[in-house]
Amino acid sequence: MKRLILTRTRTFKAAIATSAVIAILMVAQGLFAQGLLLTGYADFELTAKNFGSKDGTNFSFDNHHFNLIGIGQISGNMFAAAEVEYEHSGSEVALEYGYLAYTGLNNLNIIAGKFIMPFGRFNKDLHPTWINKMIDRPLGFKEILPQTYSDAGIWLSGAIPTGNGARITYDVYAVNGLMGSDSSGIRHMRGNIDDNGGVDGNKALGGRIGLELAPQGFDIGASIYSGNYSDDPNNDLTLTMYGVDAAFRKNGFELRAEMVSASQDVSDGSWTKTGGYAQASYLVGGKWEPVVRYSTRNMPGESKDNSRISFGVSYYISAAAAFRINYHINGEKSGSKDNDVFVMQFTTNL
Amino acid sequence: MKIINKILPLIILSVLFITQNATAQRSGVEIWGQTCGNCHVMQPGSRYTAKQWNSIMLHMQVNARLSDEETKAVLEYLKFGASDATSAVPASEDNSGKEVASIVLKEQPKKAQGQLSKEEAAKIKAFVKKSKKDKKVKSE
Repeated sequence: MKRLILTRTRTFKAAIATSAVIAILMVAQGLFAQGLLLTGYADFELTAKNFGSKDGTNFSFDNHHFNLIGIGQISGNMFAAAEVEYEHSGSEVALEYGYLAYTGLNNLNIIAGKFIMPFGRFNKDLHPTWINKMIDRPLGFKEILPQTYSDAGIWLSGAIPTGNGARITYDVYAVNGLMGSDSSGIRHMRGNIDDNGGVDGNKALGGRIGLELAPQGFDIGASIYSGNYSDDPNNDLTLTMYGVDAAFRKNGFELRAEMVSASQDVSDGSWTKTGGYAQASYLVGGKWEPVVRYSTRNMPGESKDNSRISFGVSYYISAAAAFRINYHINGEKSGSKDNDVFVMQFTTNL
Repeated sequence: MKIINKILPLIILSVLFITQNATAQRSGVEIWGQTCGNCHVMQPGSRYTAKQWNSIMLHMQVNARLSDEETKAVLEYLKFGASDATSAVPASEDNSGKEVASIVLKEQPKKAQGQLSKEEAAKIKAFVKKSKKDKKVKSE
């Protein structure tokens, strides 16, 4: 019965979302002429879990993402942007972001609404499947930094040129913040839409500062997020996340690394959770791009995989579409198990 | 956390003060190659119409933390190759052929050669040629 209700709820949500998309397309024709743009990205995956296991391999198909992005200029330097997630064949429908932005000040953009948190590079810039060179997130960027993490608030962003193509980039934001009980994982603290009526009296604050040496192909950044996450007003529990990221790219070669560390107060002490990845790729002849990634996470009390080596190759059909094949070798905290994963994906920017 | 809440207005004012006195130095095609290409495969101008590029670059101005001046420079470059572009689109003073050649032919040779169609590559070459000519006329 519960399953039936869940299925009906999903079907209802999918129907609402589909109707909304059709309605937008119907009314938007005139708006398109004025510069409203409907874009997004989509992908399709074949996943083989427990690859090579004696117990058998599990195959599944997934229309993982069909995410629509609408961008419209309101006037002059003001615009609105929104992304509607339509994931796992429509079983998950959500607003990834929806904000108003003002870009009329020199080197300073002001954004208000729900936005993807500018913490590190993967969360905001690299997660869309047509951009992400590996299928799936690195370890640590799901349970620790709950990617894709978007939140409602105000965000100031920009860059200060320092000469010879170099820039210091900055992001400062105040958001409702993550909220939950200390027994729930960080990932389950998202979706704090109205800050529970402002129950904790605080907003979460954070930002990122970065240095880009564009002609040299080098950039580095440091991020912070801090806020009270407890949904109990009498229980002052803080969650602080720190991150560092670095990238180097030259002549088709790209090296990226990113780390996140979360310090979480709990009722009887505190937990420290860490995760990170390093990734190297090389674009051969503009069409083929082999990639290798090592990612790891360390979470107290968790017995899940704590390291993963991933190998993959992308074939670019065009600048907007790619076919990717990945093989993930998972390492266990204790003992070993055949739980490698083989994935194929077709992804496209719409 | 409450202390941070109190210093937030100070942070905002500092950001406003520092940022309003800095100016961009890169050309549109440099930003296209270096900053757009830092996250994703560079999209050729021919993917969208000039009007669509206007909307996309508003979004990208925030995502890539571009200034107004930088955004305009990238837009001009992309509109030159836009799917509805005419050859009458002028090159700006700062879009010199030197930078185009640097990005397209030196810094991103594989991406540029492999992922752009012949027509797109020809448009870039035409852009280089026109920019050089504009620069020469200007210096004369």
